[in-house]
Amino acid sequence: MFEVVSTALVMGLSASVYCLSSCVPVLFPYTGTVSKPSFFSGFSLALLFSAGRLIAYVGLLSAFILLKQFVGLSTIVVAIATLISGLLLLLSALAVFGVFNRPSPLDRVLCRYVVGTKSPLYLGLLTGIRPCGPLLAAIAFVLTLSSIANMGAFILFFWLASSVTLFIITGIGGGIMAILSQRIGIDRIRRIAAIAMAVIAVFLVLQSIGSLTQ
Amino acid sequence: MRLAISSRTRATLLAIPVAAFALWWYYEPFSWLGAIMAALSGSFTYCILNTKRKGSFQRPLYIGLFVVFLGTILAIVFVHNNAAAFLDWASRHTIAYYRAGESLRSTVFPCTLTISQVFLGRAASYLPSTGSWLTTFPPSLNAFWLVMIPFAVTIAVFGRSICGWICPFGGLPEAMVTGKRERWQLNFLKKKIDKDNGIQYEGLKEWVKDIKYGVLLASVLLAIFLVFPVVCLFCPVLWLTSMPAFWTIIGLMIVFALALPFMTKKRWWCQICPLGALFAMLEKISLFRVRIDKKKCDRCMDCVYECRMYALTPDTLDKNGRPNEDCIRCGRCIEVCPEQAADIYFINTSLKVRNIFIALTITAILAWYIWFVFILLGKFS
Repeated sequence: MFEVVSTALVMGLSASVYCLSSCVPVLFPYTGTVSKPSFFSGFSLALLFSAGRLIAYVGLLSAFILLKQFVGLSTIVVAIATLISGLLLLLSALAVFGVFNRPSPLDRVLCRYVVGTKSPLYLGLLTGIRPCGPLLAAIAFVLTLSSIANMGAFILFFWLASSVTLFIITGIGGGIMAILSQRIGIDRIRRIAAIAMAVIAVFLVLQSIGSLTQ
Repeated sequence: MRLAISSRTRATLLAIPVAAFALWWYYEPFSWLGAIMAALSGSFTYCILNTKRKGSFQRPLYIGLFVVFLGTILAIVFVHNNAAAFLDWASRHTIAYYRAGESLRSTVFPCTLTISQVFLGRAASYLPSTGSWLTTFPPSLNAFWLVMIPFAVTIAVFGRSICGWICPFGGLPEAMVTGKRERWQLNFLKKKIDKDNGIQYEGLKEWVKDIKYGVLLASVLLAIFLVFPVVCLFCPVLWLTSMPAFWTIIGLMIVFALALPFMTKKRWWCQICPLGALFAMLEKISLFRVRIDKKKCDRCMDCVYECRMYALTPDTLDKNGRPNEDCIRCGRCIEVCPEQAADIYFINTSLKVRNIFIALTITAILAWYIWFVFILLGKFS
């Protein structure tokens, strides 16, 4: 067990720097959209996001176990996950601007279940579906393990180690946003973060369209 | 006793150092280019300083910069068959510039946009295969300083006037803001103030002004963490590599650099530019400031209507006569003021330095645009 856990930690830590590229751009702007940004609000957003990633990892692993083989994810699946991430970010940005404040059932559903504090969970889930190289290597390694307990331990510790830098960066991000909000006002910080979110959303949508049309 | 100097003498005194700089800067590797640039820049500086309507000279210069930039794009497309061949060619020509022997290799060539990549996060990229960080641009610390020091000095000296004088992307909206009539008022984007004599609109709403800061934050995040040079989306070399990005940039340019400036007579392209946001954030260290003398001002509001950046508002005139951080020192407010109340001052002083500012700006243009001249010359080499 010790060997499995230490391998998971080493692989997770080495993956954590690499995984920042897909996680930080989509998560960081959220640190500025909360009503009271702080180190802990940034940390809790990262926790929610990472919970989504963990669900995706377990889902992927279960699928591979059921298929009894390791298969690479299709570029179409990855592109669609990127597209949905982009749209989700766009909806969240619009929600910050109060676009969904009308008393309609659709707006109520969007606000309650899709955008706001829950969207990092979905974004984490979608980010997990478009895995990076180190994650795929880790899943391939898990499939070689014999017992379910070892597999579970590996995935848990890999997830923890790979989330460390994300926790630190979003925590610091939350702290910076708190300082900035005292200087220039929380409304302005929320606006700038929402605009950044919308721009990143457009980038993700363009990226997915580029992949789908190739 | 203050020495009375005629405008001709002043223009001559400032044109000589500008011409001397051009000669020195362009002399190597082409001596004939140095002579031509010295003659051109010297006579241009003299003309622009010896006229009351400086805008009539500034605009052609600015639009000309854009045309040279456009020429670069055509050089890329028609002379060099692909981006890699172009970059290889550019790298060979840039060696002449770096006299210290620092070639920037074939990865990048120095231009204002490439330099901004350092700010927006392409200084290093992570190599997962080796687990190490590799400096991609610039390739060495010496090259980094060679590029960064001039860029930092330019920001410190000029602030957002880079947008008003040096940036080639400003040339297109500048060409489109001709004419007097504002076809679209776009009042829904402006702050509405209930005055006793009726509703008055002044300045842009806060969220419109914040767009550029949001774009900057997104650019930095994408550039640093995806190791993707987002600013390169604006570089014609990369336009050829990504079609969705290409059409997005073309669409943005049609809306913000062509249609909106033409219909509103304002520079909307500069309202969404992330580099403009960066310059605006560093505005406090800029050496040159526009100020309206409140004693002379008769509140005719000509400067407010003329300001292309919504930087001057009735509110700013009432407060301290200083435009907000979006002021690009284009000088239009100075030219339209019937009371000569507006001028460019040295930071925190009452020293009027408009002429020196213009001479320095032309020097900065000469310093930065050597690359585009080389690129165009490549067509004939």
